[in-house]
Amino acid sequence: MGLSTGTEGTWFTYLWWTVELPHPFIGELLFAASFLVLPLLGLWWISRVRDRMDPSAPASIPDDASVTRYLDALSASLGLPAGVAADVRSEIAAHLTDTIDGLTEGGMPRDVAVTEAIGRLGPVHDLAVAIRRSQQTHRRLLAGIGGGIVSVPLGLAVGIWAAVGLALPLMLLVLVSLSTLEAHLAPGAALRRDLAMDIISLTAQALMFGVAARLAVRGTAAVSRRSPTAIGRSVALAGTPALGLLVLFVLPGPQTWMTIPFQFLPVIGFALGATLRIDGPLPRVRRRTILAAVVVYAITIVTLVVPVTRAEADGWPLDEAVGLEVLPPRGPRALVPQTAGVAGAGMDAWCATRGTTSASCTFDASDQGHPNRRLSAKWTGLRVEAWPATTAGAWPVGVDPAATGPIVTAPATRDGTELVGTLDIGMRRDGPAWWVVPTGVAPDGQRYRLSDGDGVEIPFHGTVWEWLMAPV
Amino acid sequence: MDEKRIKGQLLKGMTPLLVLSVLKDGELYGYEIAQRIRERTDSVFALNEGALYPALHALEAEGSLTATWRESDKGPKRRYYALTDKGRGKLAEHEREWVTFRTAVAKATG
Repeated sequence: MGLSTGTEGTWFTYLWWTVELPHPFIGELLFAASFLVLPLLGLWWISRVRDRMDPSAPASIPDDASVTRYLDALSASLGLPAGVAADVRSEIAAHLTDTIDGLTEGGMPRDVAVTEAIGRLGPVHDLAVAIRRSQQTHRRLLAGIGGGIVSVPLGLAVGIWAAVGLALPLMLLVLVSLSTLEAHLAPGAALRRDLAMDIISLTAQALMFGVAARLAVRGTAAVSRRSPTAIGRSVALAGTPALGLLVLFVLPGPQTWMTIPFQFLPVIGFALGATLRIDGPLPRVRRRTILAAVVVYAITIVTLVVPVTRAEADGWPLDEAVGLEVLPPRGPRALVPQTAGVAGAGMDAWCATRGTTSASCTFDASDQGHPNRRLSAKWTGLRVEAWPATTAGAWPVGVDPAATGPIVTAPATRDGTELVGTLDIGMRRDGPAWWVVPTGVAPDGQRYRLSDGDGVEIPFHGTVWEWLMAPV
Repeated sequence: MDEKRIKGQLLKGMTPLLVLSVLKDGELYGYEIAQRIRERTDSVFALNEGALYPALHALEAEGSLTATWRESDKGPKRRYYALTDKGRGKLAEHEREWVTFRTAVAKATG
């Protein structure tokens, strides 16, 4: 959720929905609405729904076993939201009280009056069906569907705050735990904070989806007067596979083997939100239990993250890239422009990611102090090559010594004193760190590298399906 | 069966008219509505109490009545029903229909 402006215009993003706005002021209004107005509306709607869904204090009923049995059978047969059913029960209980009192005041023995009062209402099943039909009108059904649709954004808006409330302490706890582990137990390790944060974010999203599903089901049930259990089951049966397919095939994100199961947490949150204790209030959880759950969860995440720790390269930052011996040899000094930096490193190099799968790399030959200011025209077959990188922490510092060849190559073009090439790495599982070098064929027919290259990180960003199908 | 009592389909069709009629003078709860109908019609219309509440809830669902829970002087809390503007309109319409029906039946039966 956010607002961004740029030369191309103002964009408003809410969850996965992004829209270009004709005027920044509209964006500011939407931004304020999404953070404040929608959650407040959501809380108001939750309280309205709660009034109809959850039973208030039990009605006082005549002290008679047969009356209690009649009312219990009525409640069980109504098939209405609990709050509405409780109201009906209270109303019928009051009616029976009045009828019995009226009959006994007229001289009828109490036990006969009780039987007469119940008899006047008729068979309990018939009464329950008639009341249910009178409550569940088509107009209320349509209004209920509308209420459910409105409930989704309101539930998401409230859920965002709930998710932030859950995620912040979890993130703090996990970050402190990882830092402590790095400092004291595993010096030289680079624990994957990014994975931990991904998992926490997905857990928070699960809470958000759960709140939205719960409010949508209860909103629909409250307005339509249908059973929330039946609605919840239908919503879960239809929505869970749909949301699952959405996560699998449509929603892109950073993927790893470890985080893939967690990608489905929002789907599970949705299903649980639509069905768990949907016919009544959620049980109150003690603070001590919440605290214990947070600690257990944090320990679980840390336990998952530690095994995928990567060893930090010694002595980083390094003076020189490592593992270059697997690359084509450096080109003849007379033909390769040299930089003022590392001796013999060739052209200056820098790469920047472009989009989610490619990187644009520039190799500069414009060192004013060197006689070879331009790349000799004798070079042919100029191209950029992406090799698997070795990393220090998450940062590429050279070529993976086990690499046998470039993963991807792309033609390089001369642009003044520069050599420019754009590599499309594609969606590959064996990233995200790559080492990019320019190479060319010298007059002797050999391919040489023209620079020691530069590292680039292109984290996988795609759907779960794309990750599963991506080449290694 | 009590000869004076009218039951069955005729009464069922007239229940909304009877309910709306007794609520014309002010709000009442279910038991009072049943009693009021019985009193006003000298027990000719003995409303089936099992049909009363579905009728009340249906009238509330269509917007002809509003319902409010309120403490009562005696006994448990009660759900009071009151006519809405829509309910008044519906009552007037039912009354017109009834006059037409009564006139037609009178003519037919001589």
